[in-house]
Amino acid sequence: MKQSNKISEYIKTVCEQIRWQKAHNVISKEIEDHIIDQKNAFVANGLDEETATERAIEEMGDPILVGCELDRTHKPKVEWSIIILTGISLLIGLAAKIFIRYELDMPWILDKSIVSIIPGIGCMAIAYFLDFTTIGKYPKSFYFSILAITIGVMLISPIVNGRRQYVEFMLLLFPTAFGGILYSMRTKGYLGIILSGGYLAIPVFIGMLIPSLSSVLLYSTACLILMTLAISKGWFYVNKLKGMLLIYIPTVIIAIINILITIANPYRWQRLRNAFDPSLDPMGAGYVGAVIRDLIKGAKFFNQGELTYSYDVKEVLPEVHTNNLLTYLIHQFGWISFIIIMTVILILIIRFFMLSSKQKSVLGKLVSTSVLITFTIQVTFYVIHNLGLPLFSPLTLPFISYSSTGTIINMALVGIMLSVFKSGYLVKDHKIIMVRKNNLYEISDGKIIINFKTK
Amino acid sequence: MTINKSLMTGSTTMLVLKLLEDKDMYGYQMIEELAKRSDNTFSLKAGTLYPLLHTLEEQEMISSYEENADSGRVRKYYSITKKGKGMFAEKKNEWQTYTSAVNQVLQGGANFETI
Repeated sequence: MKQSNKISEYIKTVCEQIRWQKAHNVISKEIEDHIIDQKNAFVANGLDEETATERAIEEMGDPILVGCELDRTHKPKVEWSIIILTGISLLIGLAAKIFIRYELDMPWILDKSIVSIIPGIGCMAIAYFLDFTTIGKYPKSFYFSILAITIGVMLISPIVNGRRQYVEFMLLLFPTAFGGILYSMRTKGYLGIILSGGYLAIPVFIGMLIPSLSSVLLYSTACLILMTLAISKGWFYVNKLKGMLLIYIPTVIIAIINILITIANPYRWQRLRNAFDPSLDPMGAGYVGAVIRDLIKGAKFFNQGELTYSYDVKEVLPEVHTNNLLTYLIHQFGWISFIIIMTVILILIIRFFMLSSKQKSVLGKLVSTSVLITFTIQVTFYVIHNLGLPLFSPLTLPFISYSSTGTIINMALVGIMLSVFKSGYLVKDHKIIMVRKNNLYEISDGKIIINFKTK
Repeated sequence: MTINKSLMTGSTTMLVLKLLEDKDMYGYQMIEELAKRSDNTFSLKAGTLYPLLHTLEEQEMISSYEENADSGRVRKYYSITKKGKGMFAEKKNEWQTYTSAVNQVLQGGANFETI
């Protein structure tokens, strides 16, 4: 045992030079492997165990020097590009709100927006320092805490126009929570997929109670993509085709039922037709769509757009500071405002995509993909609505349109992303060990190792 | 053409990239292989190798993954990336320019064999 003490002492000295605790495990493992290999080679050459160990350690070189060298490479990476892009988006959002404040005489809007950024920064910092590995350690606690908070918010939230406020933004956290659930279920094969389906369903019901079709769609699409990713990457250790059928057959059935319900219900059918052609009922259900299309049609590249009839846009277009901000800006300042805003947001999304595609661990990939999808769908819903296709009511244009809760939640999501990009490359997925009767076998990286218990 | 001042570290990087261009390897394997191929001329210390590997990985010249080695133990393997191959070609070029220039100056006075 003396020899292994010497090895661990050497490793300890190396690690003491590396300030970033998180990097210690990965480095220790690699160095230990190396020393053992070297020692075994010396033993094979005829040295006795003790001399071999000493020589192997000697071969490594000065532990302090090695540690210092490694310290230089291993530092938590703060992804400044994400922070800067988030900052620019928030600033553009504030500029839009300053404009809205005077245009629409909403004196409170700027103060409230600024005030919501402060807890937003707080949530971002908490998510960053708590680290996404917490989600991997306690996926169910994470999921059920968010569920509890959401139900709490539901109970106290005021109901405006038949819809519970704030809750739809809480749903933006669930794809990430679901990512954690998938991570914990991947050991359970087909049963894991079915159980995940159960976890998927609860927030869907909440979304229907709000009621918010957009958040239900966002959440279920995100979860579906995550499950597809997990199965296609083989994280569930099931037959890929069967796994896919297991999730897509129910999905298709539910989709068909929903389409039938929509067609059978005259009100819903009308709404759907109006979304595509607002001119069918321009003063009723197609009203917002008709106004948006008129504004978009008359928009110029620079400067204020033209109108078919002369009317006061501020009075005719509802929800200018929230749902229809982008349309209003396009009308007032021209397409250039759209291009500037979309460029910043698209760069942010592309950056998210690039960084999350580099994640190697299952957890890092699931968590970062969940946030990436949540962002992308929010932006997509908002943009298609604001360009004149009001299929589903938009949630928020992250950081740009007015929404205190939306801003705070989205900043928390950015914090989660930053924590993935900070240390994601060091995260190792907990190895899956399955014990059945007498034989112990282990599955790692898609391979099965069988231990014959020869010891 | 400018030559890297720290020629030693420069050539170590090149040698490591060369090894990985042939096949994916783990750290210990690289040291062994390098010694073997150079008739024990290069005895790379592990203490030099790992910081170098980790830096190269950070620069995305190489990437790593874990896999079971023949012995059944999980090993951290390194493999060269496209970017790394580009860097290797550059380093090799630099090295050849350098050695031929040195040889030219020495005017065949020394018995140099270029690598």
